[in-house]
Amino acid sequence: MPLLEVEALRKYYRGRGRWRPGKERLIPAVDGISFQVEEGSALGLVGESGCGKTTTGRLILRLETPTAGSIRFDGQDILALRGERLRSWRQQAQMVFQDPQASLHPAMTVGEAIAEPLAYHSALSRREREERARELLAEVGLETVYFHRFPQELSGGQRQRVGIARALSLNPRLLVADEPLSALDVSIQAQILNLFIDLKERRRLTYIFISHNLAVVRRLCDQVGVMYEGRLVELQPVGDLFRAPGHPYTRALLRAIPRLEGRRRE
Amino acid sequence: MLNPLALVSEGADACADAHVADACVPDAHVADTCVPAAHVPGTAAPLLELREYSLRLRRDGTGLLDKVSFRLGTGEIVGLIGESGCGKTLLALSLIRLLEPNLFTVAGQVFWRGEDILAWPEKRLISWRGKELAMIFQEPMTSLNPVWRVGAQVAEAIRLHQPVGVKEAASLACQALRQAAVAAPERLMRQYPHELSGGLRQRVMLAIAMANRPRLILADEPTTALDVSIQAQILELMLRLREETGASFLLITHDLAVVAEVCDRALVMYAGRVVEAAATRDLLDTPRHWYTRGLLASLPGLDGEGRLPVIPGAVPAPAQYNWRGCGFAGRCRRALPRCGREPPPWSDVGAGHWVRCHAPA
Ligand SMILES: Nc1ncnc2c1ncn2[C@@H]1O[C@H](COP(=O)(O)OP(=O)(O)O)[C@@H](O)[C@H]1O
Ligand code: SF4
Ligand SMILES: [Mg+2]
Repeated sequence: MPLLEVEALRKYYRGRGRWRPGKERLIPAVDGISFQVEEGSALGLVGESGCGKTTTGRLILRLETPTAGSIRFDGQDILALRGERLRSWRQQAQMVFQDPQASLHPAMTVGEAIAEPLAYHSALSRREREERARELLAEVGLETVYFHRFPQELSGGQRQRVGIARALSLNPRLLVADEPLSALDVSIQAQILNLFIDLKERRRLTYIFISHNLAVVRRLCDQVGVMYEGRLVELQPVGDLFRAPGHPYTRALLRAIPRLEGRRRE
Repeated sequence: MLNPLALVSEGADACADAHVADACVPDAHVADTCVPAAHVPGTAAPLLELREYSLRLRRDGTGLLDKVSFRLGTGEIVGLIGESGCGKTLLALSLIRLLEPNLFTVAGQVFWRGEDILAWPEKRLISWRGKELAMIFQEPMTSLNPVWRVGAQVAEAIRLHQPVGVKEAASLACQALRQAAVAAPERLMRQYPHELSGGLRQRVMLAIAMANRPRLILADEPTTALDVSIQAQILELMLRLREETGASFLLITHDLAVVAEVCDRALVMYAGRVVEAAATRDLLDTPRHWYTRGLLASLPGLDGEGRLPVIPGAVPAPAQYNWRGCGFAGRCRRALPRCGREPPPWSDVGAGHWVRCHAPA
């Protein structure tokens, strides 16, 4: 049985549409998407900005309420959760953001930021929390000297490591990573991508990995869903998708990736 | 292709015959200042030429750029590549003379069509900047005025440098937007920047930059904040604009694949220095500096699987740049004992391909 099952998920907003002036109407951000993710595997969601990837992630985490559809995790109906059980779901499913700066408080040291979720969601003592935070710091590949630093003193890649450590602090089973590499240099993207790959193996983590770059997704994900205007236009195991992209939009996305062969100049 | 030549130096005469720079100067501590003479095919004057341009913080003398030398020819697209923190933006801001003189000290020369712009008074710079030379940034919102309509902003840029009336400026603005491949320029002129997508804003920036037909556009990570599909469109647009107007571009990026797609030639920067320079194909097919090799290996590409080879660590802050030796020594798996204490000399490895490494690949 798949760990996560999403069915006919929809989210409509009342608005004017993003770049178009005009009358208010219902705008579909997510327009009936379905997929399943096995435990310990990764689903990549690709597509251009505004196509509904982030909204999908937020719906799964119950940060927003869907207009229709169902989300099941480990057999449980996520949309029916209330009170204590919803709280517990929000520990099991964590999010990693594009810009960790925005999710890290500037007045909190790295150690404090990583330990903070433990203060709310665990019975650990202060000492135990600090101990745990140090272990997490090591797990994401940061030296202990960073424990007492502030986020502003860190590079983009280091901050993303802290964001990941924080997301891991409650031992989640599902990680929704929303464009976690897009703000980083290509060389640092490779480092963080390797970290995601290691964590997947070591912790048997299940991922929803949101990206606009298929080349990155290929390295980490087992399945890829291509989104366009709120819909999944293609959903395939990663190998098949690269071997035989079915949808013209997928082929366009593949063509858009800059290549070392430099086809455009010729 | 124009002017494939990469490096020149004031000390060029002294080492005109030497292929390896340190062979030409007896004084060891100045060895790294001696850049090999350029082998210029023909005598076409470059549009832009830097000679040992250095930049420091006035406050404490921290070195930011160390003796950067290169030439850029008319119609060339040159890539400036390196990770964040290597000094690429500072170099671009130097070229357009936008650095606050109270904060920095400079040395060396920056020639614009044979004249040293470092000697120019502010008045001359104002009529040159935006007219002969324009710059676009990663985040267009930082240079667009949020309370002005797009049309007014493009027209304003035109009126700053061309003696035209309001009406004519508006029609030129519309033309400039159309040239930047905006589908409905008339409608766009009436919109505000916040109403536009990131890709469209970047097109507006390109339209503003191109409006006065500049000879050179400095493009600082113009596509880094964009989706790959929009990035592809902007890169294609740059190539087309070069074709149509003959303008040159200096394209700053951290992505070698972007360089591969559009640049004729590229300069690799690390820790405030240029460490390798070559025609794009040479650089990608036979990278000689270990930093360039590391950057190439860490690109995901479309055919590999699993973990990527990475360059360990990160670019240090300028106060920790090691200019006594090779700046990359701390992250280089091939580093020799002397790499940390002797600046590598420039070597000419053929066909306008230059590298600064004690043990090139
Ligand atoms: N709170 C909201 N109100 C109105 N529109 C929204 C809201 N959140 C998202 N949208 C719109 O929904 C669409 C999909 O957004 P999003 O999920 O953020 O896409 P992506 O993650 O691919 O960038 C976009 O057009 C966006 O503007
Ligand atoms: S000079 Fe030494 S440290 Fe620098 S790139 Fe070459 S081998 Fe590596
Ligand atoms: Mg998004």
